[in-house]
Amino acid sequence: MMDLAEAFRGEAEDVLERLEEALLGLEADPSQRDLVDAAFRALHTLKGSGAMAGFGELERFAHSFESAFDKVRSGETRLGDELLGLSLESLDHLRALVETGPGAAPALVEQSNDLLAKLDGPSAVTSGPDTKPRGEIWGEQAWRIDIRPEPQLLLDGFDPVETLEQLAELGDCRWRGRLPESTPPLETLTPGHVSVEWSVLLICPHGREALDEALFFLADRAHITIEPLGRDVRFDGLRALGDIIDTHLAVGDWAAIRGLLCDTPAHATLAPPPEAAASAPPKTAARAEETVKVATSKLDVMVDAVGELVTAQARLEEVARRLGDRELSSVAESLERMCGLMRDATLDLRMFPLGGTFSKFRRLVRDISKQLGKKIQFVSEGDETELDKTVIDRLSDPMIHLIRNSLDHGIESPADRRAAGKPEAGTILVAARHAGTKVVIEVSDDGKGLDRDRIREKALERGIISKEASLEDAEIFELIFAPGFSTASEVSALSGRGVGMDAVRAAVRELRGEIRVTSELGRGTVISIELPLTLAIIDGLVVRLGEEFYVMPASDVEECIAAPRAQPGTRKLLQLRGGLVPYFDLRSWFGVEAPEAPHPQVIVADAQGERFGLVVDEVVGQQQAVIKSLARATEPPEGVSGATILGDGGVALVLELAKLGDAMRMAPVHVPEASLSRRMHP
Amino acid sequence: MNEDDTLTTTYVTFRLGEESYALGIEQVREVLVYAPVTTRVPRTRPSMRGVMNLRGNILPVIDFNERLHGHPTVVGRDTCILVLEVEEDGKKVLVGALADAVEEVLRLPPEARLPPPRGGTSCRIDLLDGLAHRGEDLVMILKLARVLDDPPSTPPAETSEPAPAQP
Repeated sequence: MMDLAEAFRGEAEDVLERLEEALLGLEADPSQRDLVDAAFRALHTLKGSGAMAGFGELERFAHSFESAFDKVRSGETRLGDELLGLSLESLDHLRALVETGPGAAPALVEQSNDLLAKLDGPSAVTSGPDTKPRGEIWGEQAWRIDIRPEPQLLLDGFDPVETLEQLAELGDCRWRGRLPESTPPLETLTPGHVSVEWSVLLICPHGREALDEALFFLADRAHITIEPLGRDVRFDGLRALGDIIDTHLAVGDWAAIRGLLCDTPAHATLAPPPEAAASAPPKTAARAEETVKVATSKLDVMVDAVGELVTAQARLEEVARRLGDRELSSVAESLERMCGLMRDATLDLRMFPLGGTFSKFRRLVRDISKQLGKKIQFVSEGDETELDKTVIDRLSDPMIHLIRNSLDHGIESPADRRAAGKPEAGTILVAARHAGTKVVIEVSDDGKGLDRDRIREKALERGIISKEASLEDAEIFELIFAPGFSTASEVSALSGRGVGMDAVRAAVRELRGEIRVTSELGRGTVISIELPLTLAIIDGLVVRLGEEFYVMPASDVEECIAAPRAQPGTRKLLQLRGGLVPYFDLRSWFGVEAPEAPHPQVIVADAQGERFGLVVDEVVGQQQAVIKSLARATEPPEGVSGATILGDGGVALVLELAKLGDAMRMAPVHVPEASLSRRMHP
Repeated sequence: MNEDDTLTTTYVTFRLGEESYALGIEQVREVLVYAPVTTRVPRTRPSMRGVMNLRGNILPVIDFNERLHGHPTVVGRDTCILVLEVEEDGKKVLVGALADAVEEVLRLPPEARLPPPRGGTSCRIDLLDGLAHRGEDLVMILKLARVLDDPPSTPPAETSEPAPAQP
């Protein structure tokens, strides 16, 4: 048996995330009934599975929390700011309870009681009588309901019988369970899994809504179909219907055959009443794919192994080519195909939607804007965009920093916004989308925008630029990423923490990404981050320097051209389609001593929007490179991001061109004027 | 650095020139017969010999003669690479150390260990965790984390800047 508490924690994390999303959504618009339902369902799930896992205090708390929400559902309590604030607090408390495990500390129990007392408080302020929609009474209506539960149902703490009993309360009801043909034989049956399906016949004076209500808890745990059978049906007839329920014929057909449905022709009775057709709930239609939770460490092992496989396959191919053996070549070829498939599938395992991270931001924005006394709404787009898990994890902090900046410096106070003729509430938008082999994530706000004169002033003050430098807007905005630009004086308690935008850029670059900023004074700021889909494998360009090989990401290389004749002096510029591009001799930078090649080449890199050239002896070719990190003890220089194993088993260092370019530009030997880098692109 | 070092009683000893050094046996994963380090890492200290392929893993190799005594290892018949296991950010990584010869596995009762001397050793005393008597000899027990993390500019006598390029 697996560790129940651990399994529960994993599940609870998801459920709490759903709850948080629902609560934050309700804060934006409290009238969204489906979100109230979602919150209610999440709490119910938590209660049930918490009880199964022996989290007693959590069960108790979730139960009372759920009751408070039930009053909201029934319309007894109005969902106001106060209750929502309390709910979010309670959510945090639930998180703490999940964290501590089955035995909650007395302090936590006390906290539970405090919160529950408060939750009871606002509930006392009721808004009139029970307005719970029970569905219009429009005469007796017969329904057939088929319920096919997920096998996990019982283990998740749900009792389907409860639901059936609730249905029975609605009217005359009879149900029958059966084992479908797909039921595994006894010897392979998993104890605790539900194989039974139920068919329910119900005659009641209520509409579809009442049925949905009764089926509420099963809605996302079972496949449910609801079929209206007709009005004014006698139960005698139904009794007969119940007897034929096991057959595979549609009930309506049988009913027609037997003449059981009185008066009206069968096809008329089988047409769903308009209300039912309109309110067919999407939740029963779109069922989530079944998922399995796997520890990331296991995935890492697999990604590593696939990396080895790709490397070994490259060697095999080389050996096959050298030997010129056709049989071996064909084996190598089919292996290559398999490796490709395997690699893609494995990398795909590590891909997760960004939505989980975005919902954390939603909470952050809510809490901090309250603190700041600003009105800010958080909008996210492209929640389903997938990215490598490692990238997502390492992206979280820099993104929080960007959002805090927007909250703190970007969006103005409600008064200022009114004065500027803007809506009082500011908006922070986080949007993600795919763009080829990259993912673009934008953090934008409709705040006051970047002030180019102030930035320029400050950069002058800090000695980042010289007085004479004439800079385009884009170049000025770029300055906010310069090390030492943001300082203690302008960093508030919120966006502070001693990290500036240079740290954000460094983090993004470490993920082999790029960051750019655009802004319009008075209108807002957009910061866009472009990231590779995955970190583990890149399309690499292999180059040779003397007897050494290096690999650079092909995505950062614009073109390769023959190197011009050596120019005298240290400043080297390349005439490239009208523009001048500085270039550097990688041999001397890396201290390569072997004699120079007769026809050296220049790699023109376009990394982070900066173009520069690198002289190499030869461009050997392109290959998929599995990037391995270097131990810190290696003390790799700036611009070396890892190493990879080549087809012949040798090791090549992997270069990170943006950082390498920066390092070479900084070096006084190669670039005599610090401003050169600013002038180099048009 | 590592508090557990004080409890270790089994060591692997190796030679650098005339001196014997020791590392806890749990820090030494294996010992490789010397093979040329294929890939140089540019713009690092001379003691960083480069990286090599160890069964699909990237193994950086540090020349311990260079790092501790300030001159490169002259490759001989007994030259070897100790594969050391160290922890970086909670993950175990492998680091190679070039040494003149591996000697033996040495068991030492805790009382055989002496605190590091004040001076008179051929390597900097802040890299030592202690000393041990082995018959007539002295064995120097290394503080591995310190040797690896050691900022290159610490010793005032040695060159303070890494050479921009080396062979």
